Amino acid sequence: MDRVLNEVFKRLLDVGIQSHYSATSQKIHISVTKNDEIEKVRSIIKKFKLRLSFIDTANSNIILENKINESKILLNKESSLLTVGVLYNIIEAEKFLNAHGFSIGYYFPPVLSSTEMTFADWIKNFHIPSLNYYDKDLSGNIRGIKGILPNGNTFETINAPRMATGSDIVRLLLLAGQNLFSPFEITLRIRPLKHNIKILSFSSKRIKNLLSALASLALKNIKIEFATLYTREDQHNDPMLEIGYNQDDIFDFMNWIVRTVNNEGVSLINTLSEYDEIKMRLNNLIKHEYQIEIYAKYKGIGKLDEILKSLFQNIRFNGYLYRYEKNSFSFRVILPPNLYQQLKDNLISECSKYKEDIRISECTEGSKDQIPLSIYSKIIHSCL
Amino acid sequence: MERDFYKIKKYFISLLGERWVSDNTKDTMYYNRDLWPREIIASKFGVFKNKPDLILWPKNEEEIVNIIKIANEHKLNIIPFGAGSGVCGATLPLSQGHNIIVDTKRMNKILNVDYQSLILNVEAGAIGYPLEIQLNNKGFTIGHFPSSIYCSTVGGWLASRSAGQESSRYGKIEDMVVSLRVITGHGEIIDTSEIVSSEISGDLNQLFIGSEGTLGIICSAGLSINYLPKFKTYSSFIFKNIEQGLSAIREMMQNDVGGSVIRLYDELDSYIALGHTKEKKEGLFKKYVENLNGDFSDIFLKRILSFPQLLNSLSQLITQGCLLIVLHTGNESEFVKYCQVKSHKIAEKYSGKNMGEEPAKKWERNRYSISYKQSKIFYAGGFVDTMEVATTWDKVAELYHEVKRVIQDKAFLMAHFSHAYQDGCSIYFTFAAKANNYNDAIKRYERIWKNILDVVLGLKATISHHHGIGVSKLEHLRKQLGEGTELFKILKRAFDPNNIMNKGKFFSE
Ligand SMILES: Cc1cc2nc3c(=O)[nH]c(=O)nc-3n(C[C@H](O)[C@H](O)[C@H](O)COP(=O)(O)OP(=O)(O)OC[C@H]3O[C@@H](n4cnc5c(N)ncnc54)[C@H](O)[C@@H]3O)c2cc1C
Repeated sequence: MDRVLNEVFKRLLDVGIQSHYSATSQKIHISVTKNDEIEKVRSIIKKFKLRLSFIDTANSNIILENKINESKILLNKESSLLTVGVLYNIIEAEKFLNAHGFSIGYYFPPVLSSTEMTFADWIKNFHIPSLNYYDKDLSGNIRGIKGILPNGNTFETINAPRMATGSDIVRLLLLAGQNLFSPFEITLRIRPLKHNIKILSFSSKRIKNLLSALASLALKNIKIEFATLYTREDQHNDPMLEIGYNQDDIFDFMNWIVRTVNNEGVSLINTLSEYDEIKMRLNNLIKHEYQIEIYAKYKGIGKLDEILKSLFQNIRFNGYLYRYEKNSFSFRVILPPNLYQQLKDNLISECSKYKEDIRISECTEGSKDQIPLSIYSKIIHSCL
Repeated sequence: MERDFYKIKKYFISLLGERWVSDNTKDTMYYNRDLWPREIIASKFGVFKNKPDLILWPKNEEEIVNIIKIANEHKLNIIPFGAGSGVCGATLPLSQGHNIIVDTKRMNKILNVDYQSLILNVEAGAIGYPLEIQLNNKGFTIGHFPSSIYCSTVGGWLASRSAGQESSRYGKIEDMVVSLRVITGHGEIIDTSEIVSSEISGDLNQLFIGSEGTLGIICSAGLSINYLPKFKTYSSFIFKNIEQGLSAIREMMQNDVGGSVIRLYDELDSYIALGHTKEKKEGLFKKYVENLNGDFSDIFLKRILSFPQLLNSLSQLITQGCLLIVLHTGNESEFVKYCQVKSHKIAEKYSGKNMGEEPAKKWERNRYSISYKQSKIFYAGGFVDTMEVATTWDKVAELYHEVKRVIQDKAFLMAHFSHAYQDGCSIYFTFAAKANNYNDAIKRYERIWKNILDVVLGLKATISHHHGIGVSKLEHLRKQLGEGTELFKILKRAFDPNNIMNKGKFFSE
């Protein structure tokens, strides 16, 4: 292997590709910045029947870092699609879209608040939710993806609204992550920018009521723009649900939302925040280290409420809605650091009684480690 | 070898009971194909190539686990089978070894309905229509209405990424799945409802959905259901041409007022849908169209199908425009009305002429019958098939015209656009042609498919929106995916390492 790698390294140098060879670890690190360099790498590794890795694992010999910073940003207005290089900054892309009357959508704040975040960073965390369940998370919005496979070949998916051409390859690429693929361009579904978003705020003594209100909006398919829900224990105020909706000249969305939500015993209060404040608040909440995520079907709302009430009788906690979908939601509870382990164990044991409807998960960065390991390793193994 | 197989059959009998294992000719003939028109042509000419060796009807997961175990031990080819309504040859027995059909229809129970979270748990062998009726009786709907609802199963929908007539409101089947219970080719039970996070389970679901029986057998599914809508409005418009109609449905979808059903027909399809009201232009053409619509005379049909180019040009002369029908449904009458009003404004913006409720109501009355009227063409010695492709809005009209251009001298062609989204829509082509004998029929049939799919690939559109791949589009999928075919092999290695599931599909040898 040593001789082969040495030869590969020499050839890479000959064609002007930046690389670093370590004979001790038997690894070559390559960094590509232009598209045509990939072709050069491909033809060299093909000759030696070698494969590229995009992360450094025990098995990898040639590790390629994809630094192709394409400034490509292409708006397909007619089809509401954006095609963009993955190293493009997300905030810049959002500004570009806004100027053309579009938006990436109401994704959870980390995406739209971090000034540094690129699409490549987002792809690594493709399950960052949207504040509007209709919009889905990133994986549900990627319409096309282009990148390099371990054999150095470029692969590009077809970009169509829906397909019946087998398993969802984009999901596989995202799940297997850098083990399989290094993307350099994605095509995303985007939304029209709405100028008339109003916010309605509701509060209730019980989280249960607010979650039920949210459930009836989701289950009845009521078109809202975004929803947030959080406790305000620190401020000694009642928990709050905030609903963003698009004010329309003809149809009274506000009335519809209020009527639906009122059935659940919550009260409309003066709107306290602008969207920017909501974003900021969520952004701060998510940064807390000691939190636990509780997934529940809407059926589990009552049980969840009882569990929280019994576990947190004398302890203050902050919690917030992390994700909601048509049939379920997840709620994150921020725990006092000194009681984290104990409360987590209690939560796990309480929730396990209702495991059909309520489940607990630690809040880890990225999501792949939550896939049952046996399944994940099978996929990864098959990739190698 | 045969003695071994006899033993295997005996084992299956001991496992399932004699009644649920068959190798009699009646059964093996029935299960030798699905409804892929190429195989219908073959059977009309008396050509039967692919008989399975055994048909099994398991009643539960445990029996399936045991079937898979034996299949792994003896390298049998297991072909999951729903109702056989697939139109791409996805259930054809293609292995050189022993082909075993596993028909899931005995597994048809509703396991649970969570009315608070609106989740239905149902076994994969349940047939669509009775299932939908059971839910309707309780005030709910799945929202999945394929034209084959009487003769297709939940497992078949999932395995081939099916689309229903109300996809613009409820999505395709892949949008409705909450969880799946699958027995993989490796014999392992994967239950995605046991995975804590719904997004991760969602990812795994999306690997099994569409896998056409090549990764495992889907035993049951959690599907998201909906309140049965109480209110419905019907609208119909005529547009001067396809372009204007497409602009209208695009704008409706992008403004969230596309309704539950949104269908735009090209000139000829509109002529049929409208019942060709222009009296003076009837005559020969009317007779022809009636024939296509089910009222057949074999000789006439055979003759007329010999002149596709003439017919295609004639259809341009009789045009009454392009019909759009839109059904809005919901539980808030004001909102349903609002969507209808907004959609009317959009239609008017593109000079749509309001045709009132009747064409939309007529469609609803016949919503499941039209697809079953094609067999006469086969009896007359011709053939007919449908092709559902999809692309983004910027390319829809171009794709439509290009396909028409390459096909006009080879087959009679019409189309409608019945699954629309914010970013694009599908085109559903129907083509019919005649043939002199078996070889001629197959040659023509394959040439038409190749010509159309080449156009689709050239425009980087997808070769299937909801019928799936099966055998019919496998070669074109290979071209579409290029390097990506390797990705299917990864999934195969992960979930069916011994390659016992549905050989010959999705690049498994
Ligand atoms: C008249 C007519 C109208 C149609 N209209 C529509 C329509 O409107 N929309 C639409 O989407 N399709 C339509 N189709 C196509 C067809 O009905 C669908 O593809 C349907 O989903 C197939 O279901 P099935 O149960 O008949 O599956 P089958 O044909 O039996 O099988 C299809 C594929 O699924 C696999 N499979 C079946 N069950 C399982 C399981 N439990 N686990 C794993 N794999 C399985 C099979 O191996 C095969 O690969 C129509 C067909 C006809 C004949």
